[in-house]
Amino acid sequence: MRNLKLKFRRIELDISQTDLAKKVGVTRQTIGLIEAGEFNPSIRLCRKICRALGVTLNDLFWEEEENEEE
Amino acid sequence: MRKNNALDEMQELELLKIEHNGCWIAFWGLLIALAVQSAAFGNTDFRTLAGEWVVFMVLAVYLAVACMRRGIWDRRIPMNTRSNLTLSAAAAAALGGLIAITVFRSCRKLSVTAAAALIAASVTFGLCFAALTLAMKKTAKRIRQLEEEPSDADER
Repeated sequence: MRNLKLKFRRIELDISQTDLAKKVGVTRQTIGLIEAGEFNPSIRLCRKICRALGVTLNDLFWEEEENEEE
Repeated sequence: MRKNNALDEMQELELLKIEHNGCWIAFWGLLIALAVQSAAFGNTDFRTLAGEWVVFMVLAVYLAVACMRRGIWDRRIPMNTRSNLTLSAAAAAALGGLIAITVFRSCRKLSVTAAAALIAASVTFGLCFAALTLAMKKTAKRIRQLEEEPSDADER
């Protein structure tokens, strides 16, 4: 499932995938795959992304139970 | 996570580690087995080694192509000409030594042994360096493609 919260927050701050990737120390491809829902990041990487975007884990990565993928 | 997977996330990661170790044990084990059969036992008949060679080459080509397609080089070895020269020299030294042992066992002449080892090492060095340089260029090109910022419409 696509992580639109991450994508919208990044666009809201006018940060490109490349810039966010540099801030958190990963490749642009990794950010792209997280936004596309094709890669599940570790909690450590989630925290780095949240810090870089000035939000909490809940804001970007929390899903209500009915939306949760099996 | 795929459906019908009986493993939880931790077990899945553990299984990947086990498979990773198994892959490298098979890779180096096959290479050592081929070297030992050729040098120590003097088995130079390709027909008796063909099975191991085919499996080894399939494994090596799969690893190389899969990494290049995903723009992955190595965890620790930097992607530059100096590394390629060092790795080629190591491969040349290893194969030169192997050929020297094999040839000396059969003819017992130092001059022939040295010439054979030198030729084998030179050819290995040249081929390894060419292959590594080509792989490095392909990988660098793939990394550039993957790192290109997509438009918002087709972002991934």
